Amino acid sequence: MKNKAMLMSLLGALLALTSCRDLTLPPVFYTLEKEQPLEDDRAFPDIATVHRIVKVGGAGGRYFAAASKLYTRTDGPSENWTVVSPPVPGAMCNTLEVFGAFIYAGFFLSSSGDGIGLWSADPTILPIVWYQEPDPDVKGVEIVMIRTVGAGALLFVSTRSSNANALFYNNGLNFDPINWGATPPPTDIPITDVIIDTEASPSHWVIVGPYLYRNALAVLPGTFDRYSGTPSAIRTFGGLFETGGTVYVSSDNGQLFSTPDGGTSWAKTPSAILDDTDDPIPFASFTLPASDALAVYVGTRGNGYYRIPGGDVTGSSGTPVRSPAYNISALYNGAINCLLYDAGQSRLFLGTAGSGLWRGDHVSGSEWLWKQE
Amino acid sequence: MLPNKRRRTAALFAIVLLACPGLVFAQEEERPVPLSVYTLGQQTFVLNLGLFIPLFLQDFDGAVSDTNLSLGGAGSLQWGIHLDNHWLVGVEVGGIFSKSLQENILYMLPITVKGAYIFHAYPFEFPVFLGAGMDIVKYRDQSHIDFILKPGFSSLWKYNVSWGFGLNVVYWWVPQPWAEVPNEGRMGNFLEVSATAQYSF
Repeated sequence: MKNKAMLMSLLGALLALTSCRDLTLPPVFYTLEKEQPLEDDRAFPDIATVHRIVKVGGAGGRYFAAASKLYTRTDGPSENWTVVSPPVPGAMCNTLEVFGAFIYAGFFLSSSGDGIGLWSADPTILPIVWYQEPDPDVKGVEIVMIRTVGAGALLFVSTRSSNANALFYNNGLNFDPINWGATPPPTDIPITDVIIDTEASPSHWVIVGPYLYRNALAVLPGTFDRYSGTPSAIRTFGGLFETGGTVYVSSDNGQLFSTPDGGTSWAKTPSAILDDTDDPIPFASFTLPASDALAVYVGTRGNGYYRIPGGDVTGSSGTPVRSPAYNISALYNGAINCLLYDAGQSRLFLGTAGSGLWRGDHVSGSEWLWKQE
Repeated sequence: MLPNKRRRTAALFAIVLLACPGLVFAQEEERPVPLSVYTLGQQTFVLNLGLFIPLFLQDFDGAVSDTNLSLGGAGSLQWGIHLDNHWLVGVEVGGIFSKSLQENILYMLPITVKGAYIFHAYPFEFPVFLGAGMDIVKYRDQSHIDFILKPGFSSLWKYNVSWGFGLNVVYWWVPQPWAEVPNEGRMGNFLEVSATAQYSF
């Protein structure tokens, strides 16, 4: 009787182990055979949290990465990252963007956590010399987000001051607050992304937590109204992206949405994409790595990035695939804060939460050779 | 230069060492050589600890590739029951770990049924065996169960009737076909070289 119980326990354990087999992943020996070393130390901290990475200039240009400290290197094959001195001793950088010929960065004091506003610099002059933006809307406050939209015509800056969030835009002269419509967003929710769709149906889109706002005018100011169409989120939308007149929206509810006509009609994933524990994947920022033709990539907060074949969120061109390979665990299970595709170098950067900065050199199709910078 | 006294001591020690085999054989000649060491129903526990040596991977068309694994560690426990002086059947549970190029750890846990034929040359034994069973493979987010074949041999020195010590050399053949994408199927070829301790009762 005792022996029978032991045998049944053993069989049960084996059955449980067998069920662990994931048919969506390649087998172990094949994965080992294809494995490449990840080590390619470019002096970027391996456990850094990267908030944002941008590139200034084309070939021979310079990358900047906001990872509390601000790092920079050229796009050369063996360049190392160096730290850019902040405008104030001890200040940390949490976001940055390229606007015109300048880089714009948000800094905060590491000692108190207080924001010290928006700063700009000419990236071609080294060492970097910072200038504080004098506009009171962006001076001495926490900078939450900086985005250039409209082919570099507008700079959007979202701020937080005394737990009140606000969104401003700069057309090259000064910063103005945007106009909210009849239902303005709650002021305690950060404003995390903005894009402009200039092609199919010119309009601006903004993410404020679980709300989408749309300004149906291509030229500001206009009015940003709460959008009540198809896209939905649990706690927050993840990111916005526009390519060829199609606007993409990612959500923390495991779904991806796209509209080709400024929100008149929407496509979405047939059902929520779930993780190993059946929780919805919290999707985040997008990019379009042109080396992998027609595919759109979207980062997640803990499940690497997903490749959307043909940019078709409905899955009719192929199911979104979790990437990269599972043996690159820091990325496969990583929270991807930001993605940057450098077309000139066929290079994709992934900035992670706590696992540093990763560089993918394009091999072919959807295959990238990943190295930790 | 060593002092003369120390050199003499060293020379004497060397002579004693050289003479040891003779002394041992002289002693052994006094011990009776057993006609039969094992009988039906006698049991044996074996503990193996040693090295896991990745050899190569091979696809099902015959192409060979590197495993991209480092030298690893191996260990196993075996229980067996003797059928007569030469034949033994048993089960073995083992495990290995090995590091990949990306410094991930591969784990394999084979559970095999084993048959062995023991050659006797008292005080030595040379079991030649074949194990077959399943291999639980775990690597990062992937895990599966594969078939495993483990041919091998041991060289054991019988310290006394109960205890034996020696060396174990085992070949691991782990086919990993993959019906979903057949060209991703591979056969793993590995070697285990381990020290072994055997207790019979």
